[in-house]
Amino acid sequence: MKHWWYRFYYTTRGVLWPLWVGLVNLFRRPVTIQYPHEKPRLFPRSRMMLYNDIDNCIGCLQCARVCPVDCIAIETVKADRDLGVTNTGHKKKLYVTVFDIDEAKCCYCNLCTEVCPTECLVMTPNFEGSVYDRYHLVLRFAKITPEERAEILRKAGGKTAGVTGILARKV
Amino acid sequence: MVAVPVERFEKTGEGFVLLTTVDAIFNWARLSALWPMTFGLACCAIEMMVTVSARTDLDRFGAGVFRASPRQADLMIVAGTVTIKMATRVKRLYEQMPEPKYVISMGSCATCGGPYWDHGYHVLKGVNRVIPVDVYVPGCPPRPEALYEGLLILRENPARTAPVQLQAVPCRPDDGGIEPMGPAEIGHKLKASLGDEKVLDVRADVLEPYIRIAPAALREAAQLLRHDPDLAFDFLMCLSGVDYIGQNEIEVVYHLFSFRHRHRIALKVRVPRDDPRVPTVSDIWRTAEWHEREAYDLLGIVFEGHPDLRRILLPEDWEGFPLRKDYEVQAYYHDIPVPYDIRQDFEKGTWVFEEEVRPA
Repeated sequence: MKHWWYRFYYTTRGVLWPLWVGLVNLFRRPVTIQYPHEKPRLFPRSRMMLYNDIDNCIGCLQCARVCPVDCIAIETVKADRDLGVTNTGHKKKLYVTVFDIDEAKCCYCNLCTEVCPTECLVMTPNFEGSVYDRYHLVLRFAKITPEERAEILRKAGGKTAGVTGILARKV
Repeated sequence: MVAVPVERFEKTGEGFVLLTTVDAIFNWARLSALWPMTFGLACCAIEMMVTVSARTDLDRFGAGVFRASPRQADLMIVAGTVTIKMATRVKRLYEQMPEPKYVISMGSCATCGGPYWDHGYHVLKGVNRVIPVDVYVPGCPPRPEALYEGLLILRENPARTAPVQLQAVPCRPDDGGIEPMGPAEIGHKLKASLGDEKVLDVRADVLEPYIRIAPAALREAAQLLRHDPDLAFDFLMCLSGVDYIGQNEIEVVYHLFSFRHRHRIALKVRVPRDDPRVPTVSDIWRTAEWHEREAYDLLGIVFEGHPDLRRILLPEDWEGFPLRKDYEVQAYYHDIPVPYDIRQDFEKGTWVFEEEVRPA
């Protein structure tokens, strides 16, 4: 008889408790973020896709050197005119003719932004970058067009100040 | 198989008017019930699981029904690092899925090999080498919302909003009064038991003190180290191999630790590189079994007496031993290209310049 009461108690509790949980959650605010229409609240220092403010870039190649996956390709040419200074007061002595970041290879480690002396390379909270072709994930930040680049290189006699990343590889 | 939107069908002029409309209905039905396959390879799969959970509910778009069988699935989310060994399995799973089927390559590793694109001989450099990929999702790993966006891109959903605007001491327990032995003492004890000619070298003044043993005396030394009550090395922390190509020798290092006495030592054995044969210790420390398989897999060291000496990480028909200094990776494995194709980067990436302006 005692066992009967035990079983009665546990069975009743086992039936009623889930019902109670369901009832409570019925009136609770849903946790789902309606993603395409509302964005998730990211943390202040979220590390997502890279962005380079090329106007403040001095082409020091430090980001490309520290990059563990070698996804930053930079080419610089010595400037033949005064390019001004960056926001941080560094003098811009080089044309940054190519500044490409392959987002497909980037592993979001934040090393490149830490070494950046002018704080122009930053990690943005932008995480949306899905593409149909993987080569669309190569972000080009240099403002110099291919024609201008050819002109700059011709003036410099084909001599570059620094080449890194995939550009330094032999095909 | 690419998810073709309705407008593109009309532009290409495929089929008749009635069929075009039917196709549109079919397309809508397919893309509103994309059933992914239950299938995860690495850390990206954790984010994929979060995508299905309540916060970013993948079921809102009919893609939350993860099917356990490829025959019932029509979306393959390649979440994680695809090793060469896994690539053939991924391909087989893809072939088992019924048409129409779609593939999302999630994260850096699946897209281009990720951090392993340069030096990883064992990683497939982009899953598009074995199966056609529809959408690439960048990230390492991507956020759940990023995978969501990839799904929406696959569906070409106009509800997608504009991108976000830019903003700018090892803890050591109490010894309990037992004094650990120093490396010199351990070496002395070994020499006393085995004889001076079998213990080749005892170095206590280096960062990781070690004892070098003649290969023939390895099992004897291992038995002594394991079972002697004063030594009692009951834990083989690591077994690794080193290729000394200059001296034409291969070294096997056994890192030992004693939980009872809390002392440690490294045991080293050197064998000729052409025919590296070391007696197994897998019956003395059971940990050594798969450690020795790994050393055999990557360096080609044959452990004599090992119960099951097969490759453990790489496919069984792989050529060569990758951690040898003179190793050259094979060009193809079962028609899958293995090394990263930098030429394709130059051709299809941004790095296309006129030949005359490229610096010499």
